[in-house]
Amino acid sequence: MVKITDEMLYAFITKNVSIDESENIQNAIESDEETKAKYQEILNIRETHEEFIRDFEKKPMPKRIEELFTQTNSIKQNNFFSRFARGPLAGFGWIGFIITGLFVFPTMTIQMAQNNKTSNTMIASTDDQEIRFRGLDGEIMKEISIGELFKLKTGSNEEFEITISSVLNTTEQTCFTITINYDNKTANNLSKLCIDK
Amino acid sequence: MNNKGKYKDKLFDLYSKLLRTAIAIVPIAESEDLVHDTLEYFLKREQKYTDHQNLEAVAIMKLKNIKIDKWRNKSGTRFEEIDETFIRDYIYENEDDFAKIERIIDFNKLFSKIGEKCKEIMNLSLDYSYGEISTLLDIEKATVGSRLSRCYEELREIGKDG
Repeated sequence: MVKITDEMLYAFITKNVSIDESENIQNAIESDEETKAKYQEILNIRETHEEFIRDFEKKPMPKRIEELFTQTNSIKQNNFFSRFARGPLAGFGWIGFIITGLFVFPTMTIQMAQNNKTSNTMIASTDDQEIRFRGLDGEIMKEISIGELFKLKTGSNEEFEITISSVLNTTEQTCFTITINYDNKTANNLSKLCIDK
Repeated sequence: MNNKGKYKDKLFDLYSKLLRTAIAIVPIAESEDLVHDTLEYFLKREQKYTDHQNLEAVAIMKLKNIKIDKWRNKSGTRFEEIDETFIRDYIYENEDDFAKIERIIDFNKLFSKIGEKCKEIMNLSLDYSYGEISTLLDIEKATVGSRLSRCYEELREIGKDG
């Protein structure tokens, strides 16, 4: 009878033997107690090993490993343009945000200045602009007196002086007689200006 | 499917093989952590490895390298106890057959004491023929049988001594 080595028994258990070898080993196991005991011992180790590994592999993939695959998805989707792809509403929201920003940004300095009127670092103010555009505060007459002299300046820096000579107040009109002085000369004629009531 | 999806699928499919390799080179309680670190490494380097000809081979090599770096600082840890808890509380958390759990724990104590090469070839022998193992490990087919024989012998000897 052929001597059965450990290596042959391992090959038999792991099914790595030919049909002829398999028959010989099977016969030896059945006929020889020592071979049978050795075979049983190796088989037990092998079966426990297989049971252990299979049971461990049957466990589902751990959450933290699963999350690795989903995390990389979220990293890829987290770029600026992919935000638009998440939904049309999100896209409109971002577009609105950008447009509002375009309007707000150029007037930001003026708004800042307006909120800091007492600050010495004020750059500009909408209040000042209003005064400048109107430019009439010094010329509003609250009370007109006969002989009162008004100084006017044209756009080309020419100066005039106007004197109210008389005022005629009727129920329908108010008429002023004015004298215009130009370059320190008094005009010869008097002008009359009437305003309907 | 695009290349990115394919790359991730390939890595996902490698999970079992990486886990099997990890079991052979680190205590079982640490094997999932090692696979996690390896997969994380490759997922972060998609551009570098997406067209690699043999992702499986390079992943297994990287897993072994990560193990060397990571376990350098873990000498002195009592893995026998950690493994026992892991087997009881995680692998067999719903198992009522306590005799089986004890048998597995005893086996793992022996298995953890044999060399890495033995653990690797024994794990491979659960799924592959001698011919396939010889290709995977780049060794002669006849060597597979003799090496497996020596590994089982080593395991039995440790069992007798223990």
